[in-house]
Amino acid sequence: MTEKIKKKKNINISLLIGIIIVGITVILAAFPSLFTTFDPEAIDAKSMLAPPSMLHLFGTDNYGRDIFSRVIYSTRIDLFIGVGAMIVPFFIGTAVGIISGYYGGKVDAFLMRILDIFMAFPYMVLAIAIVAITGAGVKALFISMWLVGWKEYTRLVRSEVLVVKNSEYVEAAKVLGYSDLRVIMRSIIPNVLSSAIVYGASDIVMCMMSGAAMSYLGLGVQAPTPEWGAIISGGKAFFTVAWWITVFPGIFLVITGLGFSLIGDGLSDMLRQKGR
Amino acid sequence: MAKEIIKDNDNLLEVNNLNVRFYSNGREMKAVNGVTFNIKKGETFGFVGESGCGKSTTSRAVIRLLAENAKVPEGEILYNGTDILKLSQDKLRKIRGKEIGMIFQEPMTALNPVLTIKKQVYEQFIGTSMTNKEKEERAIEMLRLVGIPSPEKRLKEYIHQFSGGMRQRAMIATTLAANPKLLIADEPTTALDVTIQDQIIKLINKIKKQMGMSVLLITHDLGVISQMCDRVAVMYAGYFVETADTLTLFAKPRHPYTKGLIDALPSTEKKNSSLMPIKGTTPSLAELPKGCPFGPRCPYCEDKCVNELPEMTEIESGHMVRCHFSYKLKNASGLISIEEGEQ
Amino acid sequence: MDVFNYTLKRILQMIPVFLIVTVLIFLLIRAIPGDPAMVMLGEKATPESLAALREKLGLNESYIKQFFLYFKGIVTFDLGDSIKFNTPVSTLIFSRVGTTICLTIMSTFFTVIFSFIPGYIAGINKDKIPDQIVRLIALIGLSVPSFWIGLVLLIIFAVNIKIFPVAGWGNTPWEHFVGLILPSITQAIAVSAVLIRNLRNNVVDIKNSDYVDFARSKGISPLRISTHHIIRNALIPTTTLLSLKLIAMFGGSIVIENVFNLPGIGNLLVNSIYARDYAVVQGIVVMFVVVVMVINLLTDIIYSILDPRVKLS
Repeated sequence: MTEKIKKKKNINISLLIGIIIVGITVILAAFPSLFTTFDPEAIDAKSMLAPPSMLHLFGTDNYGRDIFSRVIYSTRIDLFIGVGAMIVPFFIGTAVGIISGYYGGKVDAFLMRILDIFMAFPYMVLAIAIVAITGAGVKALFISMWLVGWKEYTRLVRSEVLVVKNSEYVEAAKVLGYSDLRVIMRSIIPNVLSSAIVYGASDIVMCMMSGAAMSYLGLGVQAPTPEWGAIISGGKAFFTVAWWITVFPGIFLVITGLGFSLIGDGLSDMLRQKGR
Repeated sequence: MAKEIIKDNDNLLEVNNLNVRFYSNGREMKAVNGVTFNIKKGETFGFVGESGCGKSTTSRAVIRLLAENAKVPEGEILYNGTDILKLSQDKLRKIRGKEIGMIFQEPMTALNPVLTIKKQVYEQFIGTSMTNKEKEERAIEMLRLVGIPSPEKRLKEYIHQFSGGMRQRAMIATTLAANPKLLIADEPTTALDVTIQDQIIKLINKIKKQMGMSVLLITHDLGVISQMCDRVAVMYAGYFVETADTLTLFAKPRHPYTKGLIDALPSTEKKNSSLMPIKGTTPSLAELPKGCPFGPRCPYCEDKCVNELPEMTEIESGHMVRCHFSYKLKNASGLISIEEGEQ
Repeated sequence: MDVFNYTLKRILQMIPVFLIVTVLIFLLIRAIPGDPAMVMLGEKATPESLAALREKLGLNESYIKQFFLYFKGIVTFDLGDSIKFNTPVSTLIFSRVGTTICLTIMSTFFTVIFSFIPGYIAGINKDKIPDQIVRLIALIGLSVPSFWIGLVLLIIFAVNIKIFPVAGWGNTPWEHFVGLILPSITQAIAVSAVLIRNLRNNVVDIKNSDYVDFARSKGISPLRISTHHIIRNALIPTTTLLSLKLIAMFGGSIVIENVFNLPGIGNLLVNSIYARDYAVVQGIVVMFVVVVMVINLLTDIIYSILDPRVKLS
C-alpha cells in the first residue's frame, strides 16, 4: 500500500540517464555531418599527428584525418554492430529457450547438448575461427557474434519457462484445451520476455565491445571505414607520440556502453519492483 | 489512565513507553507506539496480532536487533534494571545470546547454510574458558535436550540435512547453548505443520521449566498463545490494544479487536456459525489515523474514536485496554473454549 | 557422489561433446574457400611447393581419412606442423602457453583484489556514498574495452611516468614479471566489474539475511559476523563466477597479448590467422576447447566444496 505510492513518485533515474545517453548517440549516428566539419576519410598531409586543438578537437591521425570526425562518424557503425549483433541471437536464443523449456524431454535434451557444444568455445576463439574462414570484415563479425550470442538467452529463457510452465494459469490454459502455440504466445512469452530484454540491454554493450575488439585486432571493420576499435588499432603504432588517437574513441565507446548498461540496470530495477 | 507500573523485583524485563520508527524514502513509519510491558522470571509473555502489527519489531527492539533504517526515539528497556538502549555495543553483545536468546520463524534461513550446526553452537561459547571437550559435551547435551537423536553425528551436519521439525529443534539448541534467561521466540511454530507445531510448543514449555527461563513469544496464532502464555498483549498497528492474563483475555476480551480475533477462530462450540473475519485491512504505519487505530474497522466506532486516541486503561487488576468504549464489551464473553486450549 | 566418480562421469560426458567439437573444427577449417595449400602459400607459390604441402597436409586423401588422421593427431598431441615456423604445432603451443598461463594467474590475483574489496565495501555500505561510488565505477567498468584500457595504461605508466616497459616482456624472470603487471591489471579491470556487482549484491542480500540476524542475536562480534557469516557466504557464488571468468581471461589473452606484444597463445593465434597458418589455428582452438571444459568441471567441483548444499550429480 505505501510501497505503491513510493514507486509512482520514483522515476527510474538510471533508465532516464541511460535513455538520454543512448538518445544522443543515436542522433550522432543519424546525422554525423551536423556535428563535424571534416570529412572523416579526408587525408591531409599538412597536419599529420596534430594534437587536439580548436581546429581538430581530438587531434589528427597519421594521415592527417580529423579524429573528432572519425569518432563521430563511427557512432553509426558501432551502434549498428552492437544492436545488430544482439538482435538476432535475442530472437533465436529466446525461441530455442522457449521450445526447450516448454516441450522438455528429448527436445530439451537435444537442444541442451547443442548448447553444450557451443559453450565449449570461448567467445573470441570461435569468433576468430570464423573470421579465419570468411575472412575479416563486418560479415564475419556478425556471423561469429550470432553464433556465440544466442546461448545466454536460451539458458535464461529456458529456466524462466520452466518456472512459468508449472504456474497455475498455464496449467489452466492447458486444461481449457488451448493449443501450444496459443499458450506460448499468450502465457509464456509475456512472462519470460522481460528478463531476456534486460539481458539484451547489457548484451548490446558486450556486442559493441567485442565488435570493437575484433576490429582492433584487424578482424572486423576494415580501414579506412571509421570505427572506434579500428581507430584505436590504427593509433596503436603511434600511442607513444599521439595518445589522442587511442584515448578519444575509447571514451565514446565507454560512454555509449554506459548508456546501455544504465538502461539495463533501470529495466531490471523496474522488473524487480514489479515482481514484488 | 493507569500508567504506574508496579516496580516488581520479579521483573526480568521491563519495557516502558517503547517507540520504534522506520525511515524509508523520506517517510516515517510508526512501527511501535508507546509499548509498555514486563516479563517476570519464569513467565511466558505473548504478543499476538496480524503480520505487520509491530510485534516482531518490538521483540527485536528488546535486543536492539533492528534494521538500519530504524530509530528508537523514546522508551526504555530494562533488563535486570539496566537499560539496554543505553548500553555500549560491547556490553550489548554480552546481553545478546547469553542473557537474552532468540529463535526465529524459519530455521532454514536463520541458521547459516554453509556452517555446520557444531560451528554455530560453538559460537555461543566464544569468550568462555571452555575447553574443546567441554564445548562438545555441552553441544551434544543441548541437542539431546531438544530431542535430536544421535546428536554426536548430527552436530557435524548442515541445516539442510535436517527435517522440518528437527531444524527448529537445532535452532532452539543453538540458542539454548548459551543458557539465556530470556528466550524471545518469534513465530517459532508458524513454518511447521500441525503435529510438529505441537511438539515444538511442548518442547519450549518443557525447557522453559527445566531451565527456569522466561519466554517472550510472538505469534499470530491465538491457539499457540493459549498453549504457552501466562500473559498476553494484543497488538494492532504498533499499539498494544489489550493486555491481560491468558485466561482473562480469552474469557473476557474487552477490546473489539481482541474479540474479533477470538471470533475469527474456528470453534467446535459455535455450531452452525461461520467464521467471522474482521472487515477491512490494517492501516498504513506511515499514515495512522488521528484517533483509535482500529477505528476504521471497528463495529462500535464513534466520533470520539475518530478524533481521540484512547489511552491504555486498567479496567481491572492486570487487564488493560485501549478503547473508549470497552464497557460495551463488558458482558460479551470470548467464545473460545478455554478448557480445550489449555493444557 | 564423491569427487572422483563425479569427475569420471563428467569426463565421460565430455567425450561426445569433444568429439563433435573436433568434427566441427575439422569442418570449419575445410570450409575455407579455395585450395588450403594455395591459401597458405599465397599466389606466388610454385606448383612443386603446393604439391608438397598438399601431400604433407594429407589433402590428397579422402575427407574421412583426413579426419581420422587429424583426430589421431589430436589424441597423440601431434597437431601437425606450422608452415610459418616450420615446427610442430604442439611444440609451438608448449613454448607459448607458459606466458598465457602466467598472465592468467596474475590477472586472477589482481581481479581478486580489484573485485572482492570494493564489492564487499559497497555491499556493507548499501546506498551510502562508498556504495554509490563503487557502483558507478563498476557500471562504467562494464563497458571499458580491455584493449583500450590496456593502451591507456601504457600511455600513462609506460609513456608518461615510464615505470613499466612499453611492450614485450624482456628476457629475465624479473622482466617477465614486470612486463606482466600492466597486462594483468588490464585483464583484471575488464572482468572485475561483473564480479564487483555480483559480490555487492550477495553481500547486500546476506547482510539482511536471517542467519546474520541470528548470529547478531547470539552476541557475536561484528568482525566474526563479517568473516564467518557475510564474507564466507557471499564469496561462494562470486568465486564460482570468478572461475568461469578464467575462461574469459584465457580468451581475453588474445586481445591483451596483442596490445602488450606478449609471446603467448593468443598472440600466436591472431598471427597464425594473419599468416593463414591453419594447422596452428586448429591446434590452438582444440586446446582452448579442452581448457574450457576442464575449467567448467573444476568450477562445479569447487562450488560443491564451498557450498555443502550443492550436490555433485
